[in-house]
Amino acid sequence: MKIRVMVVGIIFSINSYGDMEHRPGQGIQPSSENLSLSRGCFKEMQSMGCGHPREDHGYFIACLENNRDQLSNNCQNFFHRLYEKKN
Amino acid sequence: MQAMKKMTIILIIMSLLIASCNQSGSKNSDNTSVKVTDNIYGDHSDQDPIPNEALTFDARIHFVNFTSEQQEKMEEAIEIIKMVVATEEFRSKVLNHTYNGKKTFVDNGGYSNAQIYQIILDGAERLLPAKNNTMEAEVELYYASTNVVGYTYASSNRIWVNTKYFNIYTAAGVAHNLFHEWMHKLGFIHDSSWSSSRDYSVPYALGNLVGEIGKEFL
Repeated sequence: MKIRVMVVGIIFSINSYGDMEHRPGQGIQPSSENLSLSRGCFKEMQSMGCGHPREDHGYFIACLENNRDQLSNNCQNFFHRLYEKKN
Repeated sequence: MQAMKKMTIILIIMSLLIASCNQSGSKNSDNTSVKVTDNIYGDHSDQDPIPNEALTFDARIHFVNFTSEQQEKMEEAIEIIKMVVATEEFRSKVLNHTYNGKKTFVDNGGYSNAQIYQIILDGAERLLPAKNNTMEAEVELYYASTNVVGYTYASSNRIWVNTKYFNIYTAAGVAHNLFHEWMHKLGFIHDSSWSSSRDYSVPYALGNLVGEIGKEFL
């Protein structure tokens, strides 16, 4: 009987361990601030006639390089993080 | 009567063990790891401009069992993957990924970070080995009430995605999971159960990265 209780205990501990596992895709929920920043920045670029990277990536990047100074500071930082070398 | 009791206990143990396996984030039957045979990949450096293949990276996905709304969401996820791969941030984070203070991934198949980056850009799946700069796979939706988000097998081009999660995830979350599974198609593996190092494996680390950067494109 003791052995059976031990086996069941071990099995339950394995199951609860499994619950700690990370699940791909879970928690990919941006904060509303992040979302409004990124959307706002892509909108700024679109208003400058740069389009969106999903349309023509090369054109978007060239346009970003030419118009960087006209972007707000937040958006300059945002695109710097995404598209520019850090060093 | 005694034999009946034993059989019942065995059945309970087996069902509990199966449930435990299914709680992993994804499952993969690929026990073969990619091997370095020679240095066929040019080493990328942080100083190089972003390679053209990052900008031209494409996807060819065959949808199975999707409604039009679900297909739209998956297509958005695919677009997110393409936009993420085209970023400097993605390149930089792949090249500089560290584990235990070293620039490496866990379960890296013997490849350096730069080689792993190039393998991604090549898009040569184990079963579709042409280097076509394209992510290719079949994706099938299914529903199960388990904790498995998606899975694949080494012997198949197909990736199975659980609608239990797919339907509630953002497109960036779907991109995260799809990229994770596609890493298996390129031959990368990870521990089947949780370990402190598993998040540093290629599928987990790069799935996470695509999800994180992908949020910027929602």
